[in-house]
Amino acid sequence: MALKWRFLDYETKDGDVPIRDWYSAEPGQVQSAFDTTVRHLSVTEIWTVRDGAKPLTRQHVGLTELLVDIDVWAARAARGVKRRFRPVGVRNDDEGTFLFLGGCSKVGGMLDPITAFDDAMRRWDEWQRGLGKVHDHEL
Amino acid sequence: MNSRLWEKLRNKAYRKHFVEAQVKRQIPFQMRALLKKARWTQGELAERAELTQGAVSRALNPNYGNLTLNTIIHIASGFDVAFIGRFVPFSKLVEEFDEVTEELLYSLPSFTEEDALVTEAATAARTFAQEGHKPARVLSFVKKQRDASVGGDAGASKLQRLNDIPLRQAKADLKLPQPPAGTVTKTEADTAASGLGQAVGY
Repeated sequence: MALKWRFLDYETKDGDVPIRDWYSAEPGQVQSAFDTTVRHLSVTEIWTVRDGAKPLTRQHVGLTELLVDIDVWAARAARGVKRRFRPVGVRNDDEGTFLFLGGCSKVGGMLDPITAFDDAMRRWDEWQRGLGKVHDHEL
Repeated sequence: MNSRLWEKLRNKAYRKHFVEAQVKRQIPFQMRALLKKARWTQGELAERAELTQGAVSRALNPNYGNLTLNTIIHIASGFDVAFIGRFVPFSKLVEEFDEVTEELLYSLPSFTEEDALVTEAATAARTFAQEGHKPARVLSFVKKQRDASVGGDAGASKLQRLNDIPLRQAKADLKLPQPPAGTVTKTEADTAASGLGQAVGY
């Protein structure tokens, strides 16, 4: 398979893998939507918002959030309720990699956990200072 | 087989939603690649598909998820490609998941492109067979040219299946009365095959 992007998971110096922790706490509907988004991005040369990726701004410049939105349907409901999930990381265009630093959900304009992007920035800083390690992200 | 994905599929909830994610996200992914290939705007596709631009925009959103079959049929018509919606075993879905690439989608021919290939291959095969060339030699070059057109990439197997159409057509046409063995020289065969190769090349 012709992959254009290699996805990596960051492991903190304490041995935590934030994206794995986020993923394993989510239900199958979120996991499968996330897996499919990552798979499609891995073979997409140029990412746009429509592809499911958006660079963050302001105090989180440098991070990119993946846009994973799903419709949750209650039994016999006429329509689903939109729920938004935001795995986040750093894209390195030179190396063709995307390093996952964490994940969260988004309700209105609020993140859950609210510090998710700040935590990702901190982990990125740690990684740049040589702390922690990375693994290939497995689909 | 993607063993890690297969392991996840052992969970019924994941399995159900994996199908949902594939159905809902694969079509927008394909549409984006086909738009890039055609270099069309959403408006141009909307016009060809006889849809509003809003409908095309919604269909392109992987998070929309409420595409109707009618809209999909209109979009297929806009791109002049076919659409298959059918029940398949999970192994087939995993295979599709692992094989998908943008290049594969760029290579998806419209009916007009396919029809030109089929016609040219059929004509060339018939001509060379009538000229007395060995069927195996002609078919070999049809196949060789077809494989070369997909670049030898691992994801090309699906494209090869698509491109089997001219090959099958050539085989069918070669069921014409054959000349006696040994009537073709190497030079003639090479010339014939070269011409056929050009005829079926994308």
